[in-house]
Amino acid sequence: MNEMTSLSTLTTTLLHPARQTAQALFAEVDGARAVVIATADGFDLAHAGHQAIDPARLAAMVSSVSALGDAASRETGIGTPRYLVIESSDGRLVVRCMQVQQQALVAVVLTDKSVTLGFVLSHLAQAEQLMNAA
Amino acid sequence: MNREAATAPQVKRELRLHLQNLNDNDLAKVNAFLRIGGERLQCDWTVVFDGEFEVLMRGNDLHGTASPAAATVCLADAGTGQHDAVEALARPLQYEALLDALSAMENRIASTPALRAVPRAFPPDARFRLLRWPSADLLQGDRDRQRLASFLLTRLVSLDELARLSHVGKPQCAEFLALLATTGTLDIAAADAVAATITARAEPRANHQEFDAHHFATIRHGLGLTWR
Amino acid sequence: MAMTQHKIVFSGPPGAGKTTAIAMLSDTPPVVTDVRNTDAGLSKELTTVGLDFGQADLGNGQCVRLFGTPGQLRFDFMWRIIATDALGLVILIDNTRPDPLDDFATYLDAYADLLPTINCAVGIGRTGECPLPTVDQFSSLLAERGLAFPVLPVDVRRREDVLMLVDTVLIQAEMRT
Repeated sequence: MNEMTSLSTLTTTLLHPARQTAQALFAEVDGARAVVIATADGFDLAHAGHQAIDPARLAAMVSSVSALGDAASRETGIGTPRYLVIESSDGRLVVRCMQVQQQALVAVVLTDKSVTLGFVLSHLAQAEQLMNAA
Repeated sequence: MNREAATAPQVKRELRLHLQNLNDNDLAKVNAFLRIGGERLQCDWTVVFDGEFEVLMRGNDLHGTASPAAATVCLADAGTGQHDAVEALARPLQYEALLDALSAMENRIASTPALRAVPRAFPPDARFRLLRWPSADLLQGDRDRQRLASFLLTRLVSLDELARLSHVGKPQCAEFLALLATTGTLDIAAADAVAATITARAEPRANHQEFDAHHFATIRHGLGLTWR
Repeated sequence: MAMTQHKIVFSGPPGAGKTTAIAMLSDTPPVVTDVRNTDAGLSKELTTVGLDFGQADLGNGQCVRLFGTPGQLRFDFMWRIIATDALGLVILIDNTRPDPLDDFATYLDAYADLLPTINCAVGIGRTGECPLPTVDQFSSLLAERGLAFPVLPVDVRRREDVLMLVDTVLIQAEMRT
């Protein structure tokens, strides 16, 4: 099953802002190991970082996690999700669900456990604002 | 463990040749030619004079007899015309001509799976298992056949068990098994062979739980599955 | 009474009808994780990226949970997660896609270590629009791999067709007990 993909036009206009945002997040968040910005349906638009990861697979995974979070939020009547946090023994994945120019995106920052969670959340919120302003 | 879908040793289908209005000479030739040339044919042919049959061979001066057979071979004097459903053989009957005609009948019967299969005389303790899913032509979209085939996929099962589990009548199960036997995809084993080769049984899944027939009946009822 | 739950998983390429099949059997509106599709090569507005979930209540404390996997290859990690400990797996194929046999092979590869022991059925959809490849060709592909599962032409918008697929899975499960 060959998945030759071509992103929609609206998505391709986000490629450049996504790259800039990924690099900025990686630079600004001390302890960040990797950043991926993806479409809500799991395509990676941009990535940055020093940890060797497969950005395509991580993009797909966080989109699934985001979608499950959205389903759980709807099920419980608490609106739409903004963040999901996967706290693991050796690090943390912090996922932000974003709306950028009528496009649903997902941004994930992989960090050490030493990084203050609120700091990461704040930078992710700023990143969404900057992408919308671009 | 799902078994290798290797082709089972070919089981010859049995076909009955009903002879009508043939003289003694023709009768003797037919019997002799079948005895000599039987190995060349795909099926095991048996000469009958009454009861059910698949192919009728009649002399050309017989009129008005309705033929329920799949095909008819007419043995006629030279010059007799042919029509669609009839193979015509000229007297004196020739060996090659008879075998060619019977071979043509075999191909015609094999290509029409809707025809009733000859109920085989399977050993009473026989167990059956399908080695591959049957063709669409054989199943013909029939729900009973699809279900019967499903029961035959995972392990060896007897005719009695097949009928009991599927709630399909035994004659219908037997007919379906006979039809499957002609395709070479049905594994047939004797009961003692089943006991000796316990690996033939499908391996249970990991975390397998034991449920009885009532449990599955409950699931079917809850889902609205009511075939019978 | 202890709750007995069974899980049946519907898998297959995008557009094969997994979400529809679950909706046919679920007693409540299924949970879906569909998002807007950005793949211009896939002619669908929405696509499943998490899982579909439905439930059929059988009464007496029993239920059948129905899960659907996302179709795209990039979510193959979800296929194995969802199929773990399933009573059965239904693979749905859309015969109007460019290479349905290749699609089928993809799923046979993905579930290769499960297939020898899982109860499985294959539903080929839209054979009326695209009769080729034939249902028998899918059976042959299974036979080449030493596998034998029910392969049925289906219309997942018909509940009786979806039920037939599930019944063949239940039959296999029953025969393993």
